[in-house]
Amino acid sequence: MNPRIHANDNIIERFYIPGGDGYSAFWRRDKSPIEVLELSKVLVSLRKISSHIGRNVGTVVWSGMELKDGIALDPTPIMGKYPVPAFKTDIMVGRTIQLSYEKTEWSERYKQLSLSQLDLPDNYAYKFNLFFDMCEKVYTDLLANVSVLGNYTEKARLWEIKEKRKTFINPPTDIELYHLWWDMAADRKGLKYKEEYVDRSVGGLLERTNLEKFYKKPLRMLNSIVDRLRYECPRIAGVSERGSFRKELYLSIWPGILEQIRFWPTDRSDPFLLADKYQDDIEKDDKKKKAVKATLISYADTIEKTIRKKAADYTEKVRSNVKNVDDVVRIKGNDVIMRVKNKVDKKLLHNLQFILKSVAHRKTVYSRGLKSGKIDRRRLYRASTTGTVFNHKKDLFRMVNNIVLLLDATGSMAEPNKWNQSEILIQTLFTALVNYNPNARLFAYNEVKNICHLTELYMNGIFYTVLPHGQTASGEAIIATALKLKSTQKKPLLIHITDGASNWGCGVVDAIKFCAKRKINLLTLGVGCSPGAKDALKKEYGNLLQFLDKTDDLPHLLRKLLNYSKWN
Amino acid sequence: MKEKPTTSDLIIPREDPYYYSSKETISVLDKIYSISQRHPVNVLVAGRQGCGKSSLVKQYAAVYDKPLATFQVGILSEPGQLFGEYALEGGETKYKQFLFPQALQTPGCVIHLEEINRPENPKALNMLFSLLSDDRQVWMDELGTLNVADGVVFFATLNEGEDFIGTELLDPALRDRFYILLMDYLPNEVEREVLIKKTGISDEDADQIIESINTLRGNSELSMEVSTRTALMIGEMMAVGASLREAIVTSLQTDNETLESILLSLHIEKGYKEMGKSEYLLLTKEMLLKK
Repeated sequence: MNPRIHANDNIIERFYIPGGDGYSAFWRRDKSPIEVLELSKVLVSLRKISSHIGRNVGTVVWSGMELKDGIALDPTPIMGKYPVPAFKTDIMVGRTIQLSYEKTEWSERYKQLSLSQLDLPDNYAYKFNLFFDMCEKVYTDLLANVSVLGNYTEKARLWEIKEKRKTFINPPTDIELYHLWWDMAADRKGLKYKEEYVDRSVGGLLERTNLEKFYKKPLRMLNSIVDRLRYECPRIAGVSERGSFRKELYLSIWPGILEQIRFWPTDRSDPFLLADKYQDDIEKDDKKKKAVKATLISYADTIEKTIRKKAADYTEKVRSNVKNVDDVVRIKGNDVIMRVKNKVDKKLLHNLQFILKSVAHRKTVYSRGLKSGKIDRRRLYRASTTGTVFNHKKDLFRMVNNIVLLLDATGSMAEPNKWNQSEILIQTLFTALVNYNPNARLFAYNEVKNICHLTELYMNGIFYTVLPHGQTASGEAIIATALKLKSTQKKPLLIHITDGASNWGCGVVDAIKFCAKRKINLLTLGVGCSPGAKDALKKEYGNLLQFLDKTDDLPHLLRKLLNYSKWN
Repeated sequence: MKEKPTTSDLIIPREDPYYYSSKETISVLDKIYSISQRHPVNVLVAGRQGCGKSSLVKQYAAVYDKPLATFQVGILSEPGQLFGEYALEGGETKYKQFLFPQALQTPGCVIHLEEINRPENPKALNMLFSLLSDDRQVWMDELGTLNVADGVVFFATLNEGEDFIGTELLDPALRDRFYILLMDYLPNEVEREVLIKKTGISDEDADQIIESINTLRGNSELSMEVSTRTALMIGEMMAVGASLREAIVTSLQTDNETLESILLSLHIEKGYKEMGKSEYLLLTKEMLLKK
């Protein structure tokens, strides 16, 4: 559609952006015209989509980015124009849905089980791989068809069929057969697979090139399992039961299919029947793809950083600030976090705000030159002219110290009631602090696989959580947190909340010294401590410690701690 | 229905023909009115934002034919600020009286103190204490003794929000002077009816709005509070031809990322979809006339 031109003065009245139509236009809001940012934002959106499908999908990344467990998506279909048009986003969403379902339905596992059960020679195993993959594609599309997700898988399917068609060689081939089947079986109306295959292509009008003579019979076999895939399988409770059901279903028709396709080339890259006949074409296509992917790989790091800050390693920095270097354990930043409900205790928050207001600095802001209000002595000369001799005074309260809260999230805190109480406490205290200092930060530390993880729990107004686990390396955590504090402002405050002494790593003696050297007020709050733990903590922290036995005591204890830090 | 003028600057508000409240609340208001016939009375209305607290006060004044005066406590930073301030008049500084002294001396007036828990400075409320107590009077150097007139009802409203829940956090000295009325969002059936009547949308559209806001209210990941006020905003947008998506996008006060999550949630869980078109048009008078 062309933009219309105004007849008189050549003004374009209307721009129609082709490709802007799509289902994803309904919800996509977070976009960017800058390639790297847009790729990050699309990826975040795709992760949201996959999280709606299942929790065990793993991480969604662009191929080329680091991946331990999850889905690597080829971004080539959406690259080139930014923000990515909705129709292209739809295709990528569809692809994500298909791959997510394959993960949640354990497709790969059942393919391996089928292969080991059949024990096929290499050339047939190659054929079976393709057969199984297509069966699963049909299945995942059928799963998606019951909801709005089917709109996306349909788009992805049609796009993929169109793209693959460009690479089809002279019929018959396995790949063409399967794509014809995919189109029939996964059709959203659910009618195509019930009818006999009719070749409606231009070539199909001629007897010589009509595809029906090759594909009609195997398609009938393939379509025979669609009803069971569509209606029976999704109703089976249990992922392993569903997987076994599908495996048996596919294996039941495989001998018949193999009988039909035994001497067909699988696809243009069939290593057994075609040797290197289409090697040049394949290499040409690969080159194009590689060029686009190279761009993406160069962005991989930037995308990672855009989505979340890369986990930093603080171990060396901690080592350089302690005496007993050998005892220092590895400490890293961590960005694996879960969103958590807001657990702020409103009453406690109210009381804490009173305490903090008493130590906060008052800043008076004046609105001057008003026509009424309080007389402003500085503006009295205006009485005979404009009359704007009044002002209005407003007090703002701010804590000028940098503030960081550090929560012990190690194994001893894992008891559900204790952890819940600690979260209420820390969220409430932090909410109170952030009202007086918007730059306040909140961290937690725990141990995972012999590494002390330091995790930020408050970002962009949202609280997050970690699973309390492992040993307590308070010394390392305090130093690493202190390293994050800028000492440009008044004496920074580091409030450490723990239920017991450090039992791992270099201990807190050096951490206390380090804080003193950097003029950081380290205050420790003992929560839910046993008598033994109290003694141990007293030995470690001395006067910098207060014990909290009841949540209601927190405002009073905070006042004590803040007063102590004021005079020391 | 037109607002009725009264003898002073205070007016009796128009009655909202579609204001619904629980039977209990209506019964309590009736008792409040009876008490106000004997002596002035104070009522504290608490509830989540957008649940209809201010509308309740307005409706009370309308139903019982009383003039209404509303004052924002949130902007007060010092005592006496409600009463008046100095201004220049003919080259001289003179005390300029505000509406508050007039309102409290108007018999039967309904005085609405909005967001009573949020003055910029807690001391700003000090002058209210004696007005709300049995004394019902206050002395001011500029105005002399001010007595609360017969039949005056003080309604204070406060929001339960991020920093407030219940009424236990209000200064006890202030809280003690009030009857308490706790409000919550309307049930779905009533909310739906209000939507239809107030905005003129169809039953289907109202159902769609109720369904979608229920989805948002029940989504623990998003932790959204969608008030009746927001539901009405969505309804009004749809009444003038906006799609549900447009209405939600413009009515929910949130950032792009959260909005995306909200829309995605509605899209997948409820199956809402619109094939968007990407078009940019010239916005001029001439173009609007062409439409």
